[in-house]
Amino acid sequence: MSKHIFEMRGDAPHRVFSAAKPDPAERGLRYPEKVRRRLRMHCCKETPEELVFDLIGIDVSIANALRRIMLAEVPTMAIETVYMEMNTSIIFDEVLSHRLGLVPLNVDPRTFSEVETLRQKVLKEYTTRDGHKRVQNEEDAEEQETELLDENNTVVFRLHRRCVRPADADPAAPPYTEGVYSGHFEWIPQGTQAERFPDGLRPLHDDILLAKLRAGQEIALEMHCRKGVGKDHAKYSPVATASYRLAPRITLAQRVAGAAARELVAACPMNVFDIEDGEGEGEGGAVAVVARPRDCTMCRECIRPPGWAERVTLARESNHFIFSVEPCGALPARVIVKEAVRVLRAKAHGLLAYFEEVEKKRNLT
Amino acid sequence: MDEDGGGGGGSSGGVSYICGDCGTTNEIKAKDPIQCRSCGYRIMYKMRTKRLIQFEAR
Amino acid sequence: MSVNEHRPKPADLKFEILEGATTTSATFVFGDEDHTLGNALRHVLMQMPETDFCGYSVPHPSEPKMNLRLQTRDGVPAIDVLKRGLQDLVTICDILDEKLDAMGEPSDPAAPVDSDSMEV
Repeated sequence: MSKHIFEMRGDAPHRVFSAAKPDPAERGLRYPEKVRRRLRMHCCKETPEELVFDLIGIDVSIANALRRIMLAEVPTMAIETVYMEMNTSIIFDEVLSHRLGLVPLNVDPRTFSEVETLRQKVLKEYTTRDGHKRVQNEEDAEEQETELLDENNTVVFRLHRRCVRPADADPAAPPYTEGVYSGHFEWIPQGTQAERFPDGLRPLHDDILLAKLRAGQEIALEMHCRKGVGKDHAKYSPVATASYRLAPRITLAQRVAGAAARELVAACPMNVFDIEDGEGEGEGGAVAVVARPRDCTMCRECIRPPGWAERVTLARESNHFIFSVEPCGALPARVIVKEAVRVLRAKAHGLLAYFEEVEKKRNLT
Repeated sequence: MDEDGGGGGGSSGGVSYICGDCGTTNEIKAKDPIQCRSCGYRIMYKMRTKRLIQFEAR
Repeated sequence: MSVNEHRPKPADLKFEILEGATTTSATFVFGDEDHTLGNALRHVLMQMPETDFCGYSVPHPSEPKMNLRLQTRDGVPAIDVLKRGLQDLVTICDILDEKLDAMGEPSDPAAPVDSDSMEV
Protein backbone atom coordinates (compact mmCIF):
# COMPACT_ATOMS: atom_id res chain seq x y z
CA MET A 1 0.00 0.00 0.00
CA SER A 2 1.63 3.18 -1.09
CA LYS A 3 0.32 6.47 0.05
CA HIS A 4 -0.64 8.93 -2.55
CA ILE A 5 -1.77 12.47 -2.67
CA PHE A 6 -4.80 13.68 -4.59
CA GLU A 7 -3.98 17.05 -6.04
CA MET A 8 -6.83 19.33 -6.98
CA ARG A 9 -5.73 21.17 -10.07
CA GLY A 10 -7.64 23.55 -12.25
CA ASP A 11 -9.00 20.85 -14.55
CA ALA A 12 -9.52 17.83 -12.32
CA PRO A 13 -8.12 15.91 -9.34
CA HIS A 14 -4.82 14.20 -10.11
CA ARG A 15 -3.31 11.27 -8.28
CA VAL A 16 0.30 11.76 -7.29
CA PHE A 17 2.29 8.90 -5.78
CA SER A 18 4.64 9.99 -3.09
CA ALA A 19 8.10 8.80 -3.95
CA ALA A 20 9.37 8.10 -0.45
CA LYS A 21 11.77 5.28 0.30
CA PRO A 22 10.30 2.26 2.09
CA ASP A 23 10.92 2.31 5.82
CA PRO A 24 13.84 -0.08 6.46
CA ALA A 25 12.39 -0.92 9.88
CA GLU A 26 9.39 -2.41 8.15
CA ARG A 27 11.35 -4.83 6.02
CA GLY A 28 10.19 -8.41 6.50
CA LEU A 29 7.28 -7.44 8.73
CA ARG A 30 3.88 -8.98 8.11
CA TYR A 31 1.18 -6.57 7.02
CA PRO A 32 -0.64 -6.28 10.39
CA GLU A 33 2.66 -5.39 12.05
CA LYS A 34 3.18 -2.67 9.47
CA VAL A 35 -0.30 -1.39 10.29
CA ARG A 36 0.58 -1.39 14.00
CA ARG A 37 3.60 0.83 13.24
CA ARG A 38 1.69 3.22 11.00
CA LEU A 39 -1.73 3.54 12.58
CA ARG A 40 -2.45 6.61 14.67
CA MET A 41 -5.67 7.95 16.08
CA HIS A 42 -6.33 11.39 17.39
CA CYS A 43 -9.49 12.82 18.91
CA CYS A 44 -10.27 16.31 17.58
CA LYS A 45 -13.69 17.06 19.02
CA GLU A 46 -16.01 15.24 21.35
CA THR A 47 -19.47 16.41 22.37
CA PRO A 48 -22.61 14.36 23.10
CA GLU A 49 -23.69 15.15 19.53
CA GLU A 50 -20.51 14.54 17.60
CA LEU A 51 -17.16 12.81 17.73
CA VAL A 52 -14.49 13.91 15.27
CA PHE A 53 -11.29 11.91 15.14
CA ASP A 54 -8.34 11.35 12.83
CA LEU A 55 -7.57 7.87 11.62
CA ILE A 56 -4.12 7.96 10.08
CA GLY A 57 -2.14 5.27 8.34
CA ILE A 58 -4.79 2.79 7.24
CA ASP A 59 -6.24 1.84 3.88
CA VAL A 60 -9.60 3.17 2.68
CA SER A 61 -11.05 -0.32 2.55
CA ILE A 62 -10.76 -0.67 6.33
CA ALA A 63 -11.91 2.90 7.00
CA ASN A 64 -14.88 2.38 4.71
CA ALA A 65 -15.71 -0.95 6.35
CA LEU A 66 -15.86 0.84 9.70
CA ARG A 67 -18.08 3.57 8.28
CA ARG A 68 -20.44 1.06 6.67
CA ILE A 69 -20.63 -1.01 9.85
CA MET A 70 -21.40 2.04 11.99
CA LEU A 71 -24.28 2.96 9.70
CA ALA A 72 -25.75 -0.46 9.06
CA GLU A 73 -24.39 -3.19 11.30
CA VAL A 74 -23.90 -1.96 14.84
CA PRO A 75 -26.96 -3.29 16.66
CA THR A 76 -29.33 -1.17 18.76
CA MET A 77 -32.72 -1.70 20.38
CA ALA A 78 -35.92 -0.39 18.79
CA ILE A 79 -39.64 -1.04 18.84
CA GLU A 80 -40.43 -3.81 16.38
CA THR A 81 -44.02 -4.90 17.11
CA VAL A 82 -47.00 -2.90 18.27
CA TYR A 83 -50.10 -4.57 19.71
CA MET A 84 -52.90 -2.08 19.26
CA GLU A 85 -55.71 -2.46 21.78
CA MET A 86 -57.44 0.81 21.13
CA ASN A 87 -56.79 3.75 18.90
CA THR A 88 -59.64 6.19 18.38
CA SER A 89 -57.32 9.08 17.56
CA ILE A 90 -57.22 10.48 14.05
CA ILE A 91 -53.79 8.98 13.34
CA PHE A 92 -54.02 5.58 11.64
CA ASP A 93 -52.80 2.45 13.41
CA GLU A 94 -50.15 1.82 10.75
CA VAL A 95 -48.84 5.36 10.83
CA LEU A 96 -48.78 5.43 14.63
CA SER A 97 -46.90 2.11 14.68
CA HIS A 98 -44.39 3.49 12.22
CA ARG A 99 -43.86 6.59 14.35
CA LEU A 100 -43.45 4.49 17.49
CA GLY A 101 -40.82 2.38 15.75
CA LEU A 102 -38.65 5.43 15.12
CA VAL A 103 -38.52 6.49 18.79
CA PRO A 104 -34.93 6.14 20.05
CA LEU A 105 -34.71 4.12 23.24
CA ASN A 106 -32.29 4.58 26.10
CA VAL A 107 -31.59 0.87 26.27
CA ASP A 108 -28.04 -0.43 25.99
CA PRO A 109 -28.15 -3.06 23.23
CA ARG A 110 -25.11 -4.78 24.71
CA THR A 111 -27.23 -5.98 27.63
CA PHE A 112 -29.61 -7.82 25.30
CA SER A 113 -29.24 -10.68 22.86
CA GLU A 114 -30.62 -11.01 19.38
CA VAL A 115 -33.95 -12.73 18.69
CA GLU A 116 -33.43 -16.17 17.21
CA THR A 117 -35.82 -18.32 15.28
CA LEU A 118 -35.96 -22.03 15.91
CA ARG A 119 -34.34 -22.54 12.51
CA GLN A 120 -31.40 -20.31 13.33
CA LYS A 121 -30.91 -22.10 16.63
CA VAL A 122 -30.75 -25.46 14.87
CA LEU A 123 -28.45 -24.03 12.18
CA LYS A 124 -26.07 -22.73 14.80
CA GLU A 125 -25.68 -26.23 16.20
CA TYR A 126 -24.94 -27.64 12.77
CA THR A 127 -22.78 -25.11 11.03
CA THR A 128 -21.93 -27.34 8.10
CA ARG A 129 -23.79 -28.18 4.95
CA ASP A 130 -25.44 -31.23 6.61
CA GLY A 131 -26.94 -28.91 9.19
CA HIS A 132 -28.42 -26.77 6.48
CA LYS A 133 -29.92 -29.80 4.71
CA ARG A 134 -31.24 -31.04 8.00
CA VAL A 135 -33.14 -27.83 8.51
CA GLN A 136 -34.37 -27.79 4.92
CA ASN A 137 -35.72 -31.28 5.28
CA GLU A 138 -37.64 -30.49 8.42
CA GLU A 139 -41.30 -30.60 7.54
CA ASP A 140 -42.83 -27.95 9.69
CA ALA A 141 -41.45 -24.84 8.05
CA GLU A 142 -43.76 -22.57 9.97
CA GLU A 143 -42.66 -23.91 13.31
CA GLN A 144 -39.06 -23.31 12.31
CA GLU A 145 -39.76 -19.62 11.91
CA THR A 146 -41.09 -19.37 15.47
CA GLU A 147 -39.23 -16.61 17.25
CA LEU A 148 -37.81 -17.53 20.62
CA LEU A 149 -38.67 -14.48 22.72
CA ASP A 150 -37.62 -14.12 26.33
CA GLU A 151 -36.54 -11.50 28.87
CA ASN A 152 -33.03 -11.44 27.42
CA ASN A 153 -34.09 -10.25 23.98
CA THR A 154 -37.32 -8.33 24.46
CA VAL A 155 -38.26 -5.09 26.21
CA VAL A 156 -41.95 -4.29 26.64
CA PHE A 157 -43.48 -0.83 26.92
CA ARG A 158 -47.12 0.14 27.32
CA LEU A 159 -48.77 3.31 26.21
CA HIS A 160 -52.24 4.18 27.46
CA ARG A 161 -53.66 7.67 27.14
CA ARG A 162 -57.23 8.79 27.29
CA CYS A 163 -58.17 12.38 26.76
CA VAL A 164 -60.76 13.74 29.20
CA ARG A 165 -61.97 17.32 28.96
CA PRO A 166 -61.51 19.05 32.33
CA ALA A 167 -64.83 19.91 33.99
CA ASP A 168 -63.87 23.58 34.21
CA ALA A 169 -62.93 23.89 30.53
CA ASP A 170 -64.11 27.06 28.87
CA PRO A 171 -66.89 26.11 26.42
CA ALA A 172 -65.89 29.00 24.16
CA ALA A 173 -62.27 27.85 23.98
CA PRO A 174 -61.05 25.83 21.00
CA PRO A 175 -61.71 22.06 21.32
CA TYR A 176 -59.71 20.50 24.14
CA THR A 177 -56.61 18.63 22.84
CA GLU A 178 -53.88 16.62 24.52
CA GLY A 179 -50.60 15.38 23.06
CA VAL A 180 -49.31 11.86 23.44
CA TYR A 181 -45.56 11.94 24.06
CA SER A 182 -42.78 9.38 24.24
CA GLY A 183 -42.52 10.28 27.94
CA HIS A 184 -45.85 8.53 28.44
CA PHE A 185 -44.28 5.12 27.72
CA GLU A 186 -44.55 2.80 30.70
CA TRP A 187 -41.92 0.08 31.00
CA ILE A 188 -43.26 -3.40 31.78
CA PRO A 189 -40.31 -5.38 33.21
CA GLN A 190 -40.17 -9.00 32.12
CA GLY A 191 -38.76 -11.73 34.36
CA THR A 192 -35.67 -10.48 36.17
CA GLN A 193 -35.46 -7.23 34.18
CA ALA A 194 -36.65 -5.21 37.19
CA GLU A 195 -33.54 -6.30 39.13
CA ARG A 196 -31.22 -5.98 36.13
CA PHE A 197 -32.34 -2.43 35.40
CA PRO A 198 -33.10 -0.80 38.77
CA ASP A 199 -33.27 2.64 37.15
CA GLY A 200 -35.86 1.50 34.65
CA LEU A 201 -35.86 1.64 30.87
CA ARG A 202 -37.28 4.51 28.88
CA PRO A 203 -37.09 6.36 25.59
CA LEU A 204 -34.08 8.61 25.09
CA HIS A 205 -36.25 11.72 24.86
CA ASP A 206 -39.51 12.33 26.69
CA ASP A 207 -40.78 15.10 24.42
CA ILE A 208 -41.41 13.34 21.10
CA LEU A 209 -44.97 14.05 19.99
CA LEU A 210 -46.56 10.84 18.71
CA ALA A 211 -50.25 11.71 18.35
CA LYS A 212 -52.85 14.23 19.45
CA LEU A 213 -56.10 13.35 21.19
CA ARG A 214 -59.40 15.20 21.34
CA ALA A 215 -61.72 14.72 24.33
CA GLY A 216 -63.02 11.15 24.42
CA GLN A 217 -60.29 9.70 22.20
CA GLU A 218 -58.01 6.98 23.47
CA ILE A 219 -54.81 5.19 22.59
CA ALA A 220 -53.93 1.90 24.30
CA LEU A 221 -51.17 -0.32 23.03
CA GLU A 222 -48.24 -2.52 23.92
CA MET A 223 -44.83 -2.35 22.23
CA HIS A 224 -42.19 -5.05 21.99
CA CYS A 225 -38.61 -3.93 21.35
CA ARG A 226 -35.79 -6.04 20.07
CA LYS A 227 -32.24 -5.84 18.87
CA GLY A 228 -31.64 -5.18 15.20
CA VAL A 229 -29.24 -3.63 12.71
CA GLY A 230 -29.49 -0.62 10.44
CA LYS A 231 -29.40 -2.63 7.22
CA ASP A 232 -32.72 -4.16 8.27
CA HIS A 233 -34.37 -0.82 9.11
CA ALA A 234 -32.99 2.69 9.63
CA LYS A 235 -34.57 2.87 13.10
CA TYR A 236 -31.86 0.44 14.27
CA SER A 237 -29.00 2.63 13.07
CA PRO A 238 -27.02 3.93 16.08
CA VAL A 239 -25.86 7.05 14.24
CA ALA A 240 -27.52 9.99 12.58
CA THR A 241 -24.55 9.92 10.30
CA ALA A 242 -21.03 8.54 10.23
CA SER A 243 -18.71 9.79 7.54
CA TYR A 244 -15.09 10.44 6.74
CA ARG A 245 -13.20 12.79 4.50
CA LEU A 246 -9.57 12.86 3.47
CA ALA A 247 -7.45 15.43 5.26
CA PRO A 248 -6.61 18.43 3.08
CA ARG A 249 -2.93 19.21 2.59
CA ILE A 250 -2.33 22.72 1.37
CA THR A 251 1.14 23.94 0.59
CA LEU A 252 2.53 27.17 -0.71
CA ALA A 253 5.16 26.34 -3.30
CA GLN A 254 6.74 29.75 -3.02
CA ARG A 255 6.74 32.69 -0.64
CA VAL A 256 3.52 34.69 -0.99
CA ALA A 257 3.94 38.13 0.49
CA GLY A 258 2.62 41.64 0.45
CA ALA A 259 -0.27 42.42 -1.88
CA ALA A 260 -0.28 38.84 -3.17
CA ALA A 261 -0.74 37.55 0.39
CA ARG A 262 -3.70 39.85 0.90
CA GLU A 263 -5.14 38.72 -2.41
CA LEU A 264 -4.82 35.07 -1.35
CA VAL A 265 -6.47 35.63 2.04
CA ALA A 266 -9.33 37.48 0.37
CA ALA A 267 -9.80 34.82 -2.32
CA CYS A 268 -10.48 31.98 0.12
CA PRO A 269 -14.16 31.80 1.16
CA MET A 270 -13.31 29.37 3.98
CA ASN A 271 -10.64 31.65 5.45
CA VAL A 272 -7.90 29.02 5.29
CA PHE A 273 -5.01 31.46 5.00
CA ASP A 274 -3.60 34.00 7.43
CA ILE A 275 -1.02 36.72 7.14
CA GLU A 276 1.98 36.59 9.44
CA ASP A 277 4.95 38.83 9.90
CA GLY A 278 7.87 37.30 8.10
CA GLU A 279 11.34 38.48 7.33
CA GLY A 280 11.70 41.70 5.46
CA GLU A 281 10.47 45.22 5.84
CA GLY A 282 7.02 46.76 5.41
CA GLU A 283 4.59 45.37 2.87
CA GLY A 284 6.90 42.61 1.68
CA GLY A 285 7.33 41.35 5.25
CA ALA A 286 3.73 40.17 5.57
CA VAL A 287 3.63 36.57 4.30
CA ALA A 288 0.66 34.27 3.73
CA VAL A 289 0.55 31.05 5.78
CA VAL A 290 -1.79 28.05 5.69
CA ALA A 291 -3.48 28.49 9.07
CA ARG A 292 -6.57 26.30 8.89
CA PRO A 293 -6.08 23.62 6.20
CA ARG A 294 -8.92 21.49 7.62
CA ASP A 295 -11.45 24.16 6.72
CA CYS A 296 -10.59 23.86 3.03
CA THR A 297 -13.42 22.56 0.87
CA MET A 298 -11.25 22.23 -2.27
CA CYS A 299 -13.31 24.89 -3.99
CA ARG A 300 -10.16 25.89 -5.94
CA GLU A 301 -11.09 29.54 -5.76
CA CYS A 302 -7.51 30.34 -4.71
CA ILE A 303 -5.93 28.70 -7.79
CA ARG A 304 -8.42 30.06 -10.31
CA PRO A 305 -6.74 33.39 -11.17
CA PRO A 306 -3.90 32.95 -13.68
CA GLY A 307 -0.55 32.20 -12.10
CA TRP A 308 -1.88 31.02 -8.74
CA ALA A 309 -1.90 27.27 -9.53
CA GLU A 310 1.89 27.36 -9.49
CA ARG A 311 2.00 28.99 -6.08
CA VAL A 312 -0.67 27.05 -4.15
CA THR A 313 -1.04 23.26 -4.10
CA LEU A 314 -4.39 21.88 -2.94
CA ALA A 315 -4.26 18.20 -2.12
CA ARG A 316 -5.74 15.46 0.01
CA GLU A 317 -3.88 12.64 1.73
CA SER A 318 -5.11 9.17 0.84
CA ASN A 319 -4.37 7.63 4.24
CA HIS A 320 -5.50 10.37 6.59
CA PHE A 321 -9.18 10.14 7.39
CA ILE A 322 -11.14 12.68 9.37
CA PHE A 323 -14.05 10.70 10.76
CA SER A 324 -17.21 12.33 12.03
CA VAL A 325 -19.66 10.21 14.02
CA GLU A 326 -22.95 11.68 15.19
CA PRO A 327 -24.64 9.29 17.59
CA CYS A 328 -28.42 9.44 18.04
CA GLY A 329 -29.29 6.69 20.45
CA ALA A 330 -28.30 4.99 23.66
CA LEU A 331 -24.69 4.45 22.61
CA PRO A 332 -22.08 7.24 22.82
CA ALA A 333 -19.96 7.81 19.70
CA ARG A 334 -16.80 6.19 21.08
CA VAL A 335 -18.73 3.06 21.93
CA ILE A 336 -20.20 2.96 18.43
CA VAL A 337 -16.72 3.05 16.88
CA LYS A 338 -15.56 0.35 19.28
CA GLU A 339 -18.60 -1.75 18.47
CA ALA A 340 -17.93 -1.30 14.75
CA VAL A 341 -14.43 -2.72 15.22
CA ARG A 342 -15.93 -5.58 17.20
CA VAL A 343 -18.44 -6.35 14.43
CA LEU A 344 -15.70 -6.35 11.78
CA ARG A 345 -13.59 -8.65 13.92
CA ALA A 346 -16.60 -10.91 14.51
CA LYS A 347 -17.11 -11.26 10.75
CA ALA A 348 -13.57 -12.58 10.27
CA HIS A 349 -13.67 -14.56 13.49
CA GLY A 350 -16.96 -16.22 12.56
CA LEU A 351 -15.47 -17.55 9.33
CA LEU A 352 -12.34 -18.79 11.08
CA ALA A 353 -14.50 -20.59 13.63
CA TYR A 354 -16.44 -22.13 10.78
CA PHE A 355 -13.24 -23.42 9.13
CA GLU A 356 -12.14 -24.91 12.44
CA GLU A 357 -15.49 -26.66 12.79
CA VAL A 358 -15.19 -28.14 9.30
CA GLU A 359 -11.64 -29.25 10.05
CA LYS A 360 -12.79 -30.96 13.23
CA LYS A 361 -15.57 -32.78 11.38
CA ARG A 362 -13.14 -33.93 8.71
CA ASN A 363 -10.74 -35.36 11.28
CA LEU A 364 -13.54 -37.33 12.90
CA THR A 365 -14.55 -39.14 9.73
CA MET B 1 -72.15 -10.19 13.65
CA ASP B 2 -71.00 -9.12 17.05
CA GLU B 3 -68.43 -11.85 17.35
CA ASP B 4 -65.44 -9.56 17.00
CA GLY B 5 -66.73 -7.48 19.86
CA GLY B 6 -66.56 -4.49 17.57
CA GLY B 7 -70.22 -3.72 17.36
CA GLY B 8 -70.45 -3.07 21.05
CA GLY B 9 -74.05 -4.10 20.78
CA GLY B 10 -76.39 -4.25 23.74
CA SER B 11 -78.29 -7.20 25.06
CA SER B 12 -81.11 -6.74 22.56
CA GLY B 13 -79.09 -7.91 19.55
CA GLY B 14 -78.51 -4.48 18.08
CA VAL B 15 -75.18 -3.02 16.96
CA SER B 16 -73.76 0.25 18.24
CA TYR B 17 -72.87 3.00 15.77
CA ILE B 18 -71.44 6.45 16.22
CA CYS B 19 -73.23 9.39 14.68
CA GLY B 20 -71.13 11.21 12.09
CA ASP B 21 -72.45 14.58 13.21
CA CYS B 22 -73.03 14.70 16.95
CA GLY B 23 -70.93 11.71 17.97
CA THR B 24 -73.46 9.99 20.21
CA THR B 25 -73.60 6.22 20.32
CA ASN B 26 -76.77 4.71 18.82
CA GLU B 27 -77.85 1.12 19.03
CA ILE B 28 -79.43 0.10 15.76
CA LYS B 29 -81.28 -3.19 15.30
CA ALA B 30 -82.10 -4.91 12.06
CA LYS B 31 -84.81 -3.06 10.11
CA ASP B 32 -84.33 0.10 12.23
CA PRO B 33 -83.85 3.27 10.19
CA ILE B 34 -80.17 4.23 9.85
CA GLN B 35 -80.43 7.56 11.57
CA CYS B 36 -79.16 9.19 14.74
CA ARG B 37 -81.78 9.24 17.43
CA SER B 38 -80.64 12.53 18.91
CA CYS B 39 -79.89 14.66 15.84
CA GLY B 40 -81.35 12.81 12.87
CA TYR B 41 -78.09 12.62 10.93
CA ARG B 42 -77.94 9.68 8.53
CA ILE B 43 -74.22 8.97 8.31
CA MET B 44 -73.27 6.45 11.00
CA TYR B 45 -69.87 4.97 11.75
CA LYS B 46 -69.00 1.51 12.96
CA MET B 47 -67.24 1.15 16.30
CA ARG B 48 -63.60 0.14 16.32
CA THR B 49 -62.93 -3.51 17.05
CA LYS B 50 -61.95 -4.37 20.60
CA ARG B 51 -59.65 -7.08 19.30
CA LEU B 52 -55.94 -6.80 19.63
CA ILE B 53 -54.27 -5.98 16.30
CA GLN B 54 -50.61 -6.58 15.67
CA PHE B 55 -48.56 -4.12 13.63
CA GLU B 56 -44.96 -3.97 12.58
CA ALA B 57 -43.34 -0.74 13.62
CA ARG B 58 -41.80 -0.19 10.18
CA MET C 1 -49.60 -5.33 6.57
CA SER C 2 -46.64 -3.09 6.06
CA VAL C 3 -45.04 -1.43 3.09
CA ASN C 4 -41.82 -3.09 4.08
CA GLU C 5 -43.20 -6.58 3.81
CA HIS C 6 -40.50 -7.92 1.54
CA ARG C 7 -37.51 -8.88 3.60
CA PRO C 8 -34.46 -10.47 2.07
CA LYS C 9 -33.94 -14.02 3.26
CA PRO C 10 -30.67 -14.83 4.95
CA ALA C 11 -28.22 -16.69 2.74
CA ASP C 12 -28.49 -20.46 2.58
CA LEU C 13 -24.80 -21.03 3.12
CA LYS C 14 -22.35 -19.01 5.14
CA PHE C 15 -19.41 -20.17 3.04
CA GLU C 16 -18.91 -22.13 -0.14
CA ILE C 17 -16.16 -22.84 -2.67
CA LEU C 18 -17.40 -22.39 -6.20
CA GLU C 19 -17.10 -25.30 -8.60
CA GLY C 20 -13.96 -25.51 -10.74
CA ALA C 21 -11.56 -24.48 -8.01
CA THR C 22 -8.01 -25.77 -7.94
CA THR C 23 -5.68 -25.72 -4.95
CA THR C 24 -4.14 -22.41 -5.87
CA SER C 25 -7.07 -20.62 -7.44
CA ALA C 26 -10.58 -20.58 -6.10
CA THR C 27 -13.68 -18.44 -5.88
CA PHE C 28 -15.12 -18.33 -2.40
CA VAL C 29 -18.75 -17.40 -1.84
CA PHE C 30 -19.56 -15.67 1.44
CA GLY C 31 -23.21 -15.65 2.50
CA ASP C 32 -24.69 -12.52 4.14
CA GLU C 33 -21.59 -10.48 3.40
CA ASP C 34 -21.14 -7.44 1.16
CA HIS C 35 -18.60 -4.73 0.33
CA THR C 36 -17.95 -4.20 4.04
CA LEU C 37 -16.04 -7.45 4.45
CA GLY C 38 -15.37 -7.93 0.73
CA ASN C 39 -13.21 -4.91 0.12
CA ALA C 40 -11.44 -5.05 3.49
CA LEU C 41 -10.58 -8.74 3.06
CA ARG C 42 -9.52 -8.20 -0.54
CA HIS C 43 -7.19 -5.46 0.58
CA VAL C 44 -5.63 -7.57 3.35
CA LEU C 45 -5.18 -10.55 1.01
CA MET C 46 -3.50 -8.37 -1.58
CA GLN C 47 -0.82 -7.44 0.96
CA MET C 48 0.23 -11.07 1.33
CA PRO C 49 3.30 -12.15 -0.62
CA GLU C 50 1.62 -15.47 -1.51
CA THR C 51 -1.21 -13.72 -3.34
CA ASP C 52 -1.01 -13.55 -7.10
CA PHE C 53 -4.47 -12.14 -7.71
CA CYS C 54 -7.38 -11.20 -5.51
CA GLY C 55 -10.67 -9.55 -6.37
CA TYR C 56 -14.17 -9.49 -5.02
CA SER C 57 -17.65 -8.83 -6.36
CA VAL C 58 -21.21 -8.65 -5.19
CA PRO C 59 -23.02 -10.30 -8.14
CA HIS C 60 -26.42 -8.82 -7.39
CA PRO C 61 -27.49 -6.49 -4.58
CA SER C 62 -30.68 -8.46 -3.89
CA GLU C 63 -28.73 -11.65 -3.27
CA PRO C 64 -26.96 -11.74 0.11
CA LYS C 65 -23.73 -13.02 -1.41
CA MET C 66 -20.17 -11.87 -1.95
CA ASN C 67 -17.69 -13.62 -4.24
CA LEU C 68 -13.97 -13.48 -3.61
CA ARG C 69 -11.50 -14.75 -6.18
CA LEU C 70 -8.07 -15.69 -4.88
CA GLN C 71 -5.11 -16.99 -6.91
CA THR C 72 -1.89 -17.85 -5.15
CA ARG C 73 1.79 -18.28 -6.07
CA ASP C 74 4.20 -21.18 -5.58
CA GLY C 75 1.53 -23.80 -4.96
CA VAL C 76 0.38 -22.36 -1.64
CA PRO C 77 -3.23 -23.49 -1.13
CA ALA C 78 -5.66 -20.61 -1.63
CA ILE C 79 -7.74 -21.64 1.36
CA ASP C 80 -4.70 -21.36 3.64
CA VAL C 81 -4.00 -17.86 2.37
CA LEU C 82 -7.64 -16.95 2.95
CA LYS C 83 -7.43 -18.21 6.54
CA ARG C 84 -4.25 -16.24 7.16
CA GLY C 85 -5.89 -13.18 5.59
CA LEU C 86 -8.82 -13.48 7.97
CA GLN C 87 -6.42 -13.80 10.88
CA ASP C 88 -4.61 -10.68 9.71
CA LEU C 89 -7.92 -8.84 9.57
CA VAL C 90 -8.64 -9.94 13.16
CA THR C 91 -5.19 -8.64 14.18
CA ILE C 92 -5.84 -5.31 12.46
CA CYS C 93 -9.12 -5.04 14.38
CA ASP C 94 -7.23 -5.72 17.61
CA ILE C 95 -4.78 -2.95 16.73
CA LEU C 96 -7.64 -0.57 15.95
CA ASP C 97 -9.19 -1.48 19.30
CA GLU C 98 -5.95 -0.76 21.17
CA LYS C 99 -5.44 2.59 19.48
CA LEU C 100 -9.07 3.49 20.07
CA ASP C 101 -8.70 2.79 23.79
CA ALA C 102 -5.54 4.89 23.83
CA MET C 103 -7.22 7.80 22.02
CA GLY C 104 -7.22 10.64 24.52
CA GLU C 105 -9.41 13.61 25.21
CA PRO C 106 -10.12 15.99 22.33
CA SER C 107 -7.32 18.35 21.43
CA ASP C 108 -6.23 20.33 18.41
CA PRO C 109 -5.12 18.17 15.52
CA ALA C 110 -1.40 17.55 15.63
CA ALA C 111 0.78 19.69 13.46
CA PRO C 112 0.76 18.47 9.87
CA VAL C 113 2.62 15.19 9.81
CA ASP C 114 5.79 15.09 7.83
CA SER C 115 4.14 12.58 5.61
CA ASP C 116 7.27 11.51 3.76
CA SER C 117 8.69 10.01 6.91
CA MET C 118 5.29 8.49 7.72
CA GLU C 119 5.13 6.49 4.56
CA VAL C 120 2.08 4.27 4.33
